[in-house]
Amino acid sequence: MAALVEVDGIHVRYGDLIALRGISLTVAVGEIVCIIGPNGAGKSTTLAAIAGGVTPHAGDIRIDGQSILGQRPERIARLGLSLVPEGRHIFGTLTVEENLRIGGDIRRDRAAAKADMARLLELFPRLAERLKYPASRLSGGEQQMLAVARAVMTRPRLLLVDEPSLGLAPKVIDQIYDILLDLRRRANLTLLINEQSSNRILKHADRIYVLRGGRLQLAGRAADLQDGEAIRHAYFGFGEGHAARAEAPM
Amino acid sequence: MIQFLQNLIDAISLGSIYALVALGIGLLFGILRLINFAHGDFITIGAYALIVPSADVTARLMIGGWPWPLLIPAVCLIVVVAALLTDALVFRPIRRASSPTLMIASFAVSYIIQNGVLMAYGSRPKAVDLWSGANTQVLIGTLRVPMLQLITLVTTLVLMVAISLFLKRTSYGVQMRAAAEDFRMAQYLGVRGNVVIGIAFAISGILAGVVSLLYTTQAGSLSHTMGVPLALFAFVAVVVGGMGSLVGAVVGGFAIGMIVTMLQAYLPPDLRAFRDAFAFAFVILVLLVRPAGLVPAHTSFERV
Amino acid sequence: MRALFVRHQTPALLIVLLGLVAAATLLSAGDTLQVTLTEMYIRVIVVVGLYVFIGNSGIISFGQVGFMCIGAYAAAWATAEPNFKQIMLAGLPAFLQENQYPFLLAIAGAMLLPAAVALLLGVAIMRLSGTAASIATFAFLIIVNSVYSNWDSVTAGVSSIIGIPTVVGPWTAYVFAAIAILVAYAFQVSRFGLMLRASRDDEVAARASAVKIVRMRLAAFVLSAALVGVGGGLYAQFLGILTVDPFYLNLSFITIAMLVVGGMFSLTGAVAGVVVVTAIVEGLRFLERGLTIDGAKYALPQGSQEIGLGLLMALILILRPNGLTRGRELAPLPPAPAKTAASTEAVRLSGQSGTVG
Repeated sequence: MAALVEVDGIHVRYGDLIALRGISLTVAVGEIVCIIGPNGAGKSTTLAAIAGGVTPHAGDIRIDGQSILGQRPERIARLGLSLVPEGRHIFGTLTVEENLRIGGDIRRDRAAAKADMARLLELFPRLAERLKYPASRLSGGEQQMLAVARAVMTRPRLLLVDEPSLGLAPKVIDQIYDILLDLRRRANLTLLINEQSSNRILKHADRIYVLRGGRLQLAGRAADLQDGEAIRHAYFGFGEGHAARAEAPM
Repeated sequence: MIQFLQNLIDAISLGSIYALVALGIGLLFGILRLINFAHGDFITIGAYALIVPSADVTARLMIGGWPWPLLIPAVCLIVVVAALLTDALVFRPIRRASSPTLMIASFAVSYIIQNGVLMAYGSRPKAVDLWSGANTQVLIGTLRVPMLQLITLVTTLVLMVAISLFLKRTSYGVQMRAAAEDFRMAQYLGVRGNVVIGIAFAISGILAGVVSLLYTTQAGSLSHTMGVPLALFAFVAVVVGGMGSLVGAVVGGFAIGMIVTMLQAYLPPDLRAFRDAFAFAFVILVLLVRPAGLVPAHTSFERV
Repeated sequence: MRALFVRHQTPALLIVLLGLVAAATLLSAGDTLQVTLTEMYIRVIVVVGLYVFIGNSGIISFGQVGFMCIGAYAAAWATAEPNFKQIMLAGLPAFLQENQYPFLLAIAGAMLLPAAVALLLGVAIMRLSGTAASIATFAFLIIVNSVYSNWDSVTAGVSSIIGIPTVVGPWTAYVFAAIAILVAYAFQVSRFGLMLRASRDDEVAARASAVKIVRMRLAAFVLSAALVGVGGGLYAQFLGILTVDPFYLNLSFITIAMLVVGGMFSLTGAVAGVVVVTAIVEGLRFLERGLTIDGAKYALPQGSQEIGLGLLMALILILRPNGLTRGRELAPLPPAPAKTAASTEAVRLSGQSGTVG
């Protein structure tokens, strides 16, 4: 399986604050990879770095083998990556339809984009109902769906999703995950998902990375980590220095 | 009553000019968080493009002598080029900088343009006669309205409708609105930041070009600081109308035009010279009561 | 004693260095550069005044030169000849018209009147966000210019007030510059200053403690106006002639440029900026006058000074947004070795820095 994204020892700094120290990970085509970690671990920064929102001052990020370090987010989006950021970031002053259209603007084939929008609206009937509403009037769960749909409109190969369950009710989270998995099947999407809690995602992920304090604490196949013990260690930091490093990622 | 209506029309006409300038400033502020102090000087550039560069007191028309269908696009083009150049040379390198830095940078650009014009054209104001028919009065009912004021009103309306349609109906327009709300997120979705910013500068430039023509026709003279009072009233209009809101900028423009004209008309004669001082004092009053402006932008409070 | 010097080395060193600049200039160029020197020290006072507000609060004020105008005219009203005042400035109150007051009293007036105006204006605009407040200060500059240009009975309008006793020379200006530096320093290490700087970079956090911030900004604004006003008062009594013209956009730009080039967020930056920009502008002015080499005259075109300054400012903003000093203070002396409170404070003070976001 070819590596779609390779993150190679990146260090990211916000002013004097060091957010990431030497993070490496890979995502192969067709995988579901999950990054877990507590608040402030650097999960969002990692996704932002891959999407081009922040530039690491050391290390490299490669997409399809080519370095994308220092490139602007809009260029990286055109390489087939789409980010659904933490907090949704939908355009509240635009209508639902306009939000979706922006996603489609990047596509060269306007007809295909329109067809995709129609298909997505079938998938998200709530959005279809509120098509002409300003997006700020949607509920939290609806906004999350809009954010996902909007990102999918760019016809990405890799969807980066930052904490999709944050602030949402369990039933809604289930819906979102169902849709993500469904989209993965239909559109052959690769998924890289950030979560704080591992339970739900362990069932579906292929591989898992655990981040804490800006460092990679654990990397391994979800199948090997089912009992959660190693994850708990890495997540909470018991036995600093005995940080379990399972088999190296593919 | 007639007098009041005349004053009202004066107010609306002046307000149109301020609204157009405020729109140009508000557009750039919305997308870039930049208060462009140089916007008034873009207007100056448009006006000086009309004459041949020289320090003579009597100006000879250069572009100013061309027929209107050529003149208007030519002036607008020159201003747009100037605007895009300042973006590329000064604002793009400091894209990520803080608001104060951006403001000071635009202040520097303004200073450079003003002194550049001064160097090329000398410091004496120049008389320019663009259109002698500007003041022929048109009879509307019992009101006598100078032709130029009518044209100003119509032009303003047309431009505002055009910009509105652009923002609502075209894909670039939607992208601009998205970028104005959340620039980074728009980029993540593939919106080309520099293109959107370039379009904003271009529209801003067109607005400045149109204002330079309207204003020069009315004032009949040019000076290297001619853009300063226009820009100042427009900044104040943007603040009063509500920063970050285009509708607010337009509303603010008309409000300022109204205030200034009414003060001019109704202040006692010995206080007339202090008209501007009163206008700004009134503005500060408004800000005390509604710091977010008359039509605040509806996104997060961090906009202001 | 040494510990005291080290602990407050920034203002001490700045004052000493400024004094050396004066000595060096006077020794080498004699009297020819006295005017430039005096003007430079007056600009130090003004730019330090600017810094007290802009550097601590993070809000750009384009209108401080308006306070300079108010201060200058206040001093002029106090010290101009009563004969002149009774004819040309008949609108002044009697106690000003009929008397001629000594220098220090005039300076006191130049300090207090702008401070009072700043208090009134500040109460209104310090509540606004940074950007809106900046625009309001710009409007203030225009208002002052408009009022002072038109209030003929009090300011002689567009003509000049003449016959102001010219008691200010380089050393007087230097002494006041030193005082200004000490005052600015005292403010920035005071509780007010520290709290203001803490809130400077994060406007959201600032809003959360709204009331206190407004009050502190107001304090900085008033102090700033007082300092700038003193600069104006000295300026009037240095020139001997006063008009409204100089106190407008050009001077606003130059003073802000000096602060930005030196570094907006440090006292050292304010002082250094004035010296550096004065040197550069003098250099450009010299080149504008031209050199004759082998009989051919080489000169920069008129207006090069201004454009040169504008370009310099733009370059600094692009390449070194925190100015030449990078927002740091001058503190090369190592702290006293003892593990006393004094030494830890010295370390803390010498590490003071700020950043432009």
